[in-house]
Amino acid sequence: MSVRAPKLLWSLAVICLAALGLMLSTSTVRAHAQLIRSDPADGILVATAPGKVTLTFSEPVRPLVARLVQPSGQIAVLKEIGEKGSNITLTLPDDLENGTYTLSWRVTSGDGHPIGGGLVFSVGASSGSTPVSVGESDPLIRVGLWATRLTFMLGLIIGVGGVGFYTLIGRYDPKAGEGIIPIALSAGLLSAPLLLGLQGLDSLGGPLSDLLTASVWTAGLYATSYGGSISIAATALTLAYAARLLKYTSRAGILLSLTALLLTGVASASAGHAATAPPRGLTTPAVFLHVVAVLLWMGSLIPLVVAFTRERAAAPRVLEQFSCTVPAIVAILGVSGLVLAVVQVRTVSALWTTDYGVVLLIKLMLVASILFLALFNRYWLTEPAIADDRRATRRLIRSTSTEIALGSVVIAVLGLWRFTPPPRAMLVAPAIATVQEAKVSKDGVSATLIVRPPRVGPVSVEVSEIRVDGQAVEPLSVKIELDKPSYGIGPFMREARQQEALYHGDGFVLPLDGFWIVRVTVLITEFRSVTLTDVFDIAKGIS
Amino acid sequence: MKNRKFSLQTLLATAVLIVPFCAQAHVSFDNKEVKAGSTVKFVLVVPHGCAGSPTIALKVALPPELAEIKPQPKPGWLLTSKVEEKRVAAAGAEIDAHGGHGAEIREITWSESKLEDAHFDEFVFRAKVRGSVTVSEIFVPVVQQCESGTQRWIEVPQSGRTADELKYPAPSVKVRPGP
Repeated sequence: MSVRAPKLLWSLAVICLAALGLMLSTSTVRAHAQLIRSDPADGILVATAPGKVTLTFSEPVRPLVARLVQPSGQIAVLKEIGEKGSNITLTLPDDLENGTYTLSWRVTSGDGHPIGGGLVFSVGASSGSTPVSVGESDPLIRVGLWATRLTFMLGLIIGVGGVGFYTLIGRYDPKAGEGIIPIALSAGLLSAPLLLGLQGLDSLGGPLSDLLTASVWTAGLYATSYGGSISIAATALTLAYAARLLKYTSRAGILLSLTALLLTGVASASAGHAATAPPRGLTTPAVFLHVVAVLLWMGSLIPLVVAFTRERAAAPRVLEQFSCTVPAIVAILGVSGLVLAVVQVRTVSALWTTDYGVVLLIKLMLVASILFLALFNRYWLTEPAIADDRRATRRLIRSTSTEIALGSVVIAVLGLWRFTPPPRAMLVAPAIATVQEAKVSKDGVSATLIVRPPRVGPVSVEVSEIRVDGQAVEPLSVKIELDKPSYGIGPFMREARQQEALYHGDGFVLPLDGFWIVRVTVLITEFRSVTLTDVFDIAKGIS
Repeated sequence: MKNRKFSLQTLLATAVLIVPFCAQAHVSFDNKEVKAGSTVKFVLVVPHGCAGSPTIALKVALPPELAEIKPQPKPGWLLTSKVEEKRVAAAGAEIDAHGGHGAEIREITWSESKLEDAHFDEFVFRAKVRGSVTVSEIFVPVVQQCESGTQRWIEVPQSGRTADELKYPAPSVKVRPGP
């Protein structure tokens, strides 16, 4: 390796860090642009199809993407979405038939922060529920998404985790190479753009042939909460690669690797349904710790095998250091995993009665066998292997390789979670139930939220039993928001109408099934408001 | 030499990561930091109306960390305040150090005028930061009433989180320990 190359990579890493810094700091300044009005207005019934929709904002914004869900359930990405300005004109397709339309838009405001919203309007007459076909993307895209995500995650675990092992646990520079770590890092980096593209396709519901269009990439990056998360994780991969090109034992190498580990944790904690589940104060750090612990544990296994097969001299010391550190890591993994499981699954029986629970159960069984192997290695093989017993060493290599294989299967199984809703979100089986109910509380304020019916199409949200510190109160106002950030749809906002102790939010039309985040902002006094958040699982329409 | 360059670049990268952007578009205080126990002129800056609509009134709720409140009248604006009696008993002797009156202003309202969305203005009051404050940041909820609509700058971050994550954060000042 020439001397220049690491320098180049180091500079690249600095640039990436700077870019990330910019990204983080711009996101801290909250989006300020607000929608003042739209024409046609939200919830309106018009006699003839409007040719365009005009959105007026409080300051100039740049349009990113706009999607129109038609009465048939088809999603159309609008081609002409106008230029930067305070008034954004979205040109609608010519031949709109009668029925209810949902328009979703995303813009970036002056501070670079993407904001979104949606509006519902009907032409001629409002249609009932939307058909079933909505939201089902091409199976090929779903499989592709799963496979690409698997590659990306393995790249992170083997690559960033492996580099983390060399810098923080093993603390040595391998003379005989690091096995597949560089390959994993490159594979992860290469899969990142593909993952963004597929994510965009999935959120737009377009065919695979659209993969090379600009709108798909814009959607992948900005329209969903996964875009930012993938970018952060890709930065982590680059930093880990830079650490590999420097010395693992050098201060810069350790710093880069540590940053990469933390960034991977941040990336996972910034998206996905575990990290966004209430209470977020608990789940977000739990996801972060869980991921960093997985990275360090699973990432160590390949370097261990490599050490025992290629570098016998260093192997005993490395193994000793690993077995000193790993109990703490596994403990963090277990506790954070338990917290997440309790939040997501709620009841023990949900483990076998729901798809989500079954996936978790399979994962737990696989993890249990990995733990069993790990204990076996620790208590029966580690000491003889450190003492250079040939037979024990061979067995240690074999059982560690099995751990690696099982670990990869765990990641593959976890990829299925994207397609199964957690029981928390479907306390009442949504397909049969006519309502879905959730009791939410925060900062001493509690309320019961009901969505009726929990199906694609027109729904209403009811808020009842509003209590402050256990006392029933009559709030000044109640605002209800429904949002599907993973698909970049919404938020749709309604001021609730009061009927005695019940607050109704009407006129919502949900175009897609799956998780919808509901946010209820209760204004208790002039100067105090509390926002309650939960997730509803919306079933497909009636066929 | 090589190492020094590395650390310089590291420093640069860290600086970029940490330096926050200061482009505030919220109702906020001109004061960034106050000293516990000191009497401070608080300047509230209203940078714009509510989504384009002009501001017609500003209501400020004063938290218990602030005492001896004196709002500054504004030409053209009607100044009213809500007084709460008997706060003395709860807050102890500290209040009485300055005149000894038992009544304390808890809400200030400037109203019956108009501030266009395109303009900005400042609303001023004076208050003593209690010497006994234990919090590191004081939040002052503000309600901005406009011709159409109301903006409530009343969100207070939960412990461990920053106001940056909120959409309508209450204006705040940091507290430095007093002498």
